[in-house]
Amino acid sequence: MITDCHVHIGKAAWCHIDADMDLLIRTADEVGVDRMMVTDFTALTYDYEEGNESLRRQIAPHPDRVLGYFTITTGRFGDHMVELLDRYVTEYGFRGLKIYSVPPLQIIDDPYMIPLLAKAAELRIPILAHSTAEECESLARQVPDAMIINAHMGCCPQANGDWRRSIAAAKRFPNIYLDTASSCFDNGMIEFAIEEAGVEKILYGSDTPLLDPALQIAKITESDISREEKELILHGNIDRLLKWRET
Amino acid sequence: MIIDLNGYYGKWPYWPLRQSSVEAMLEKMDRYGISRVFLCSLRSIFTDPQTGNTEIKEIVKRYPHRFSPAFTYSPFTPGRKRYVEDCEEAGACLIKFFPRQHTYVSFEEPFIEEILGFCGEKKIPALIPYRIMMNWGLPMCNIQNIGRFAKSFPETPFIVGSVNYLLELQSTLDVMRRRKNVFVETSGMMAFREIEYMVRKVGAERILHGSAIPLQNPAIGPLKIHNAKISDADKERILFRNAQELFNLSS
Repeated sequence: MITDCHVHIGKAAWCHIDADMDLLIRTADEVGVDRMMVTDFTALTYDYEEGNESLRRQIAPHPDRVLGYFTITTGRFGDHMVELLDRYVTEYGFRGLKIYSVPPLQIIDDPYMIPLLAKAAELRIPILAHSTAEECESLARQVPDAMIINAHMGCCPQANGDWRRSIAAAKRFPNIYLDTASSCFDNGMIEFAIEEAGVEKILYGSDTPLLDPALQIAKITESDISREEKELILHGNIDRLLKWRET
Repeated sequence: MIIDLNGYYGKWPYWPLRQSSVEAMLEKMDRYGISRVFLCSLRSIFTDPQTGNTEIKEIVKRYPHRFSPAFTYSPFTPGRKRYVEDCEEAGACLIKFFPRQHTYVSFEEPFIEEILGFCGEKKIPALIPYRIMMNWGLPMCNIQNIGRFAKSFPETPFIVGSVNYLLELQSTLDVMRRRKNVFVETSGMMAFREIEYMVRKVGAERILHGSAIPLQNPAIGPLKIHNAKISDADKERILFRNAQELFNLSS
């Protein structure tokens, strides 16, 4: 059983991708992924209203296979965003919030972001934050009830590939989790994350269709960790976080 | 059989390295079917090229069927002129260049031209890692400079190492399109269907397997080739046949 907490759909000129649901489902079948948590590229980089509406339509036929993240470029489009997040979760069944830090103009450690994070905490949904460890720590301090997943666990250009810094954040803050999706396969990274932050803080993600999900799965399965730890990372931990909303 | 062009030995200054002893690497190589690794000293990158190269020669002497040397030299350190002796003693070997770590501009150093001329004469591949390993925090070199060198030294086989995707891959492809004496090594390639894309763009005969053992998990290097939707003949080329031809290796 595998649940992938980090998947994209749609068009993204910056990374030369145009991925539809058929591609995602076919790829998930090939590599053995049972459930995907998906964010729309248009919502992430251009127009959150258009992108989330597109995602809503595309995931509707696949309720057991594909879960939606309500996705935004920034928190600066007004109170309407909070209302829309509420509607997408309570009426349309979206299961998370995705936020994306691309400094200097697209930042997440921003006063305008806080009402959205507070709403996500109220709705009991996880927040996938493409960001640095420092930004996640700041948000975790400001909204202690928010469940923040540090996307790429520091292995992205703006976080300088510093996975040890992200692991330190997850160790220090009870509400910071780590997503394993990234181009980095540094030897011992997953083992160290378990030793420092605890296996329950680590969630499997792939960044499909930018990265190769078969290699991302092997990052977990080929680590020197126990079978139980692999299962927790590959699905147990995110399944537990998703159940938070049902409690 | 799998030949790995991109292995390292020594300490890693940024975090404690796991499974980095020669014995631990051999165990991992056996687990993932890697027959031979071209080993480069991390000491030679970060502090002392000559002592690092000597360390590698000693490991190769102990395990001649499992390791081959990847030497490195700086224009500014003692022992740089030993490259002729090192390579003649070693047989199959490659030379790696680390201009960012050794702080020089390749085009300004006559020593680099001298050694690249030697590589061309002896058909010794010159491997220039875009970064030491695929981690976003490490300094990167200029891929187009490799293209300039490949033009000046057409007899020298150049290998671009540890490129990942997008701009760095596009620059690598541009250089490979212009210069037939440029090859690419796979340890940094993590994108979706990237191996298939590269085979379509440049042909399997110009792609060589690397894992970046023990800096990166060595399971991933072979897996990305085995999983690629390419012919078995192309997989064999990438995993070992191209290296056998380039280094005149029988095993």
